[in-house]
Amino acid sequence: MTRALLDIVQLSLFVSGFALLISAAIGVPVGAWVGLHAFRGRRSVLALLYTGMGLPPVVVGLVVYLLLSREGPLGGWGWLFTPQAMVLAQTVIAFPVVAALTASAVQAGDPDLRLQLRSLGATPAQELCLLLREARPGIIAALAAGFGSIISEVGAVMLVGGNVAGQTRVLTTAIVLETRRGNFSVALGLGAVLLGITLIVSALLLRLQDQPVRSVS
Amino acid sequence: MSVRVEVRDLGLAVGDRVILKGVELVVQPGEIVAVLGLSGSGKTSLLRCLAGLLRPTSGQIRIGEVDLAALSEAALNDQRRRMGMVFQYAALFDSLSVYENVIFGLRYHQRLPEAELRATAAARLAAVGLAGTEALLPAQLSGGMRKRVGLARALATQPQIVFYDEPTSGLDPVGAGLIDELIVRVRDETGVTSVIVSHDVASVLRHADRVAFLYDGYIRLCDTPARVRGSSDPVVQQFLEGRPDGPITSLSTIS
Repeated sequence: MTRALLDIVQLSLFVSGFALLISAAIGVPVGAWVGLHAFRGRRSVLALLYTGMGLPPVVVGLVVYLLLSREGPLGGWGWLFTPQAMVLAQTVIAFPVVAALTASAVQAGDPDLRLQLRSLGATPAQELCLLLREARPGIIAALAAGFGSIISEVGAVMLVGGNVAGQTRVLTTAIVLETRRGNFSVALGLGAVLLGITLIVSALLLRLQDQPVRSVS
Repeated sequence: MSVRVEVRDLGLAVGDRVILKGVELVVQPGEIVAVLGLSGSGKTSLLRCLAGLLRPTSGQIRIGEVDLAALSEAALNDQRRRMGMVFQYAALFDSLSVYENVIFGLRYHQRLPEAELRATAAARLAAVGLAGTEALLPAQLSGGMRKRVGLARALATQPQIVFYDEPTSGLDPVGAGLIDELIVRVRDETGVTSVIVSHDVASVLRHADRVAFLYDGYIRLCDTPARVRGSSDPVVQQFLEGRPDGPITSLSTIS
């Protein structure tokens, strides 16, 4: 049991962690760009991202399943019922969360800061780096929300992973399985492990957020 | 280290809204000129045009020999390094220490050794009365201290001209007086040209060499504080005395 449990925990962390990394690598720059630039269709892009935040994981799972199935356009990859498919589906779920919350975090910054950066002769790249740094608490919150949305979802990983023991079983799908089998204490235990992991990851992310709170007095 | 500013027939419109109609203003090298005006009269927009942060719709802005309006974005960026800007709320970078804030402009443009940056920051901070605050974060400073750090940062690159946006707003009278005194002292020590935008009449009449009054998109008057005080222009008088009744109605601020 311990060996199997370790595998499950490890795979959960790997799939959701990797999906979060990819979402951050794409979502933070995209969110920053949308948050800082005025362009035609900006409202529509934001509306799409906000809608994406509410995507039902099971629908994402279904679409990714159809894409990866043998007859699907990406069927040749042979990813269905592999951890790669799970990472792909969870990336689709986490990306809009990270991008939309990053956009709102950088947008909320003091607009004078951008003028100040320009008045100091900063290049666009230097400007972006500093604005991201200034928005760090909001961006970390975006990453935490993105991670929360995927470590806890069951619909997508169940559909595209298939809950194969030792291969694609993660904490959430294991909980579903054990509950169906009537092993409620095991299911509850797995739930506690899942909560513990979320707690630890959130605590780690909060440490990165270590900005002083401006005193109110 | 100072430069002459010449503004000719400057117009600025944002969308349908005409903010500046035909501003004429000359600031001599080393002079302190304050632009007074109602809230919403376009003072800050004028300052941003002068600092090369906002492109005017028409007219000329000559900083020394250069016409800002004719420059490309890259050339404008080079010009901005000759100028310093102190923002109304200081616009400090909260994620950086006071030290990193002060040397921000220097670090990017001149490959100076760290020891030299340290020395520059120490000198600039001492000049604004904040010696030894390098390691503090902006969140640990009061409003007045933040403004002074903003000033130290603007001066770090040894600009030829400094623009101040509402330097005394939000400060108590003593804090405001301290900033006024600093502005004059910085000018006396470095000879830098200074343009201040403010609605703090008392402060401006005390320390500016000349005062310009921006009203309805034009500079209505530009003269020494004594002559501005003695002006018979009813608009200027109403503003200086802060009377609610007179030629200025609340509607006239929305043009």
